[in-house]
Amino acid sequence: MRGLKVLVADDFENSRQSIRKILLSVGIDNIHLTATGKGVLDECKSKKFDLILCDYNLGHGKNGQQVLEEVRDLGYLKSTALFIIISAETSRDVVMGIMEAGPDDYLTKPFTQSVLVKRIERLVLQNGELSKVKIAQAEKNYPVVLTLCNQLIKDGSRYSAWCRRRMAEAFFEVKQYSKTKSLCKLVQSKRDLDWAMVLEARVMREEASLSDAISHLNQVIAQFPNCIKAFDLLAQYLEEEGDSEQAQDFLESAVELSPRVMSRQQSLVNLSLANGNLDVALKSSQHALKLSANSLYASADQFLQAAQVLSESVIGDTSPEGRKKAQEAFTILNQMTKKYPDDTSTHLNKILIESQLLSGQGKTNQANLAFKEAQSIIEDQKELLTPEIALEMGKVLYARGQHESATQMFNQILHNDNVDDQLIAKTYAFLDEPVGLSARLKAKQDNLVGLSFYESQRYEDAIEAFKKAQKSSPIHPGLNMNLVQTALKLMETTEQKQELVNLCLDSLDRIKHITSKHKQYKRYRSLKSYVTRHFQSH
Amino acid sequence: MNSKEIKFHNVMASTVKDMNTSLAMLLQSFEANGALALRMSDEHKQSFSNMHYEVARLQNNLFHLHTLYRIEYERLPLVHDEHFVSEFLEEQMLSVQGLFVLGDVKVNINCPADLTAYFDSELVSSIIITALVNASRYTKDVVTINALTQDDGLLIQVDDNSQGFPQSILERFNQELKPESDQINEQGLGWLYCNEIAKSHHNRGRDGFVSLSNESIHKGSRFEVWLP
Repeated sequence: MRGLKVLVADDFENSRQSIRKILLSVGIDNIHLTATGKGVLDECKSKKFDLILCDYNLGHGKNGQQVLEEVRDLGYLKSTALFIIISAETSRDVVMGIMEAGPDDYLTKPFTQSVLVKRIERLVLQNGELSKVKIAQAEKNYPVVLTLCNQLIKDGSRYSAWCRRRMAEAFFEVKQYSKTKSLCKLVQSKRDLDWAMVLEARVMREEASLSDAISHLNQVIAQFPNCIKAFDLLAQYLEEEGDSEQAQDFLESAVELSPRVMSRQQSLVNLSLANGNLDVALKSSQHALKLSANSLYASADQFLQAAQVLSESVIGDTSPEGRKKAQEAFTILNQMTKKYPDDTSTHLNKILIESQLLSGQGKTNQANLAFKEAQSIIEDQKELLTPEIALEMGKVLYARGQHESATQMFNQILHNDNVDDQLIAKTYAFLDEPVGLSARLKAKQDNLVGLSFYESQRYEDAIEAFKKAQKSSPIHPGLNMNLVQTALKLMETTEQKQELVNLCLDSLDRIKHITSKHKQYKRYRSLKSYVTRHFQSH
Repeated sequence: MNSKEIKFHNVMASTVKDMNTSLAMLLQSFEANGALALRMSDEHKQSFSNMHYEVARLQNNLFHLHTLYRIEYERLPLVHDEHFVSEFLEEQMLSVQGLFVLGDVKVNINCPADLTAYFDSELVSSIIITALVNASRYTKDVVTINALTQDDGLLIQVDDNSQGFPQSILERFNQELKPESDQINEQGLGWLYCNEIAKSHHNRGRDGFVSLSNESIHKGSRFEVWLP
């Protein structure tokens, strides 16, 4: 233990010195100190430490969780290095974040000198026995992990339980699923274990029974409500299954449980945009932007995403609140340019968003200028017209009232087989409701009122409510089809009125943008053919 | 949460964090000055020991209070991991060792070296510390911690050679464990907290529990916690 090279990171001089004294008292004297997250990164870049004692609070910059993620990703740690996070924080957000980063140990303040020393002794001892496995793991050399762990278990190592978990994971990596399953079963003979159940679910998915995997993960969550991995996977599998609404519910739960992970917030932005839930997207894009402030993984993306969502949420909104949001979007974009000045594609994206915002505020001249600049950039570099840019371009055209050109642009995305499903869903989400957030929320509210009237068979009242919703969000598919369905229902019991027939025809005409890739295509097709058969001839 | 609650929540979080940092400094000075205290006069030694005891109680109560708050308002994150019980117990003992050294109390741990169990170490730590701090106050000169497997779960016993729990404490504790009880007595709240934490550990339909008795092997009081 005496020979350990140690780094101590804490923003308080007192705490640094107190830990240093503890280490000196047991003969560890190769000690380096730093007060900031950046300090840890710099130190780890130039020296290979055996042990890092890092406080969660490191002043205004990165926190301990971010530092751990980053030194690992940057490859600054040797595979046997021990990273201990020390923290006086106990709030759930922080604890969950730290757990997700997965330090070798986590020590909460207050602790005594002897406890810290004992912890270090044990970790060093454990490392001695498991270092070869850890190295093989870092090299992703799973056959060696399996051999080594097997030997340790045979030798009756006290770390056998640890070894069995690594083996189950290694079997999964080398696609030996039946062995993964039997090992998971073995370790769960007396109790259910969250990690083993999650692994079982992953096997089920690999063996092509997605629905079993989903129901298994639901069981994990019922038993282990803090198992964040289960929430993430559940969201992923549900999306694969096509149930993006439920996927979003679980991703929202995961974000609530552990909000300090930027990538999860960004996934939620994308998923909620695809589902047309601007309010959720707004919240999580702001959160992601905040988290990016000190992060290695920060890029122009978080700025663009936040500005995009803001600009979409103020379409048609000229209230003071709406203006404030638009202003916020401009500010975010300008901050982005300061931070990432040189990238053409970022700049293109920026001026497209600006053009949408300017059109919305009636500043037509400025909007035109931005649009022309975007056009000329694309003419010069055609490869910049990615499907993502096409979507923004379409929104600009729509904002300028050039609906036909906008449709052409959107069709480029919808009829391109190489575009991923999420972008298609996002495009439809815009096409379904090209209105701002407050209009969307109003429509949603009126739609719910209509549905409850429908439930209680008050069809005429329902129609009034849906019509009111239609005023806020004129071409929303679900809403318009509710209207059609209610009108049809009403005509079953009353006489067939031309007024109701016209209502059906008008509603269906509003949503003719629905094509085969749209989530509501089936419902649309059956309503449309019913209406055509019965009324079109009149 | 509304904005007032969020404000309170943030104040709570940062105050507790701050108090924990202060307590850490205090406890570390008690530990650092332990050797010095041993050379003090009996009177000074006693007063040093009292201070240490009260600080340990403060820390413990702060932890209890905050844990209950977290259970109520933020779905406390339980972190169930597998632990070596002997290492865990040794660590608990070390963290309050100062209380025993000055009183010349001998502490034994009887636990198989490779015994492992699943629990939230921080929460169960607060249970064991409560029992140890209490034992340090009332025992004459010995405390024995036993850990063993029982009913497919983990049983930890803390025995001392004090006068034993007063009958009134035992009665109140057992009374308040009953589900119909809604009265709260100030005394013994710490034990009820311990029971709540033990209860939050589940496995295949069984929950943990705490019990108090005077069946100590040293003819004093016995504190037991069973975890599934």
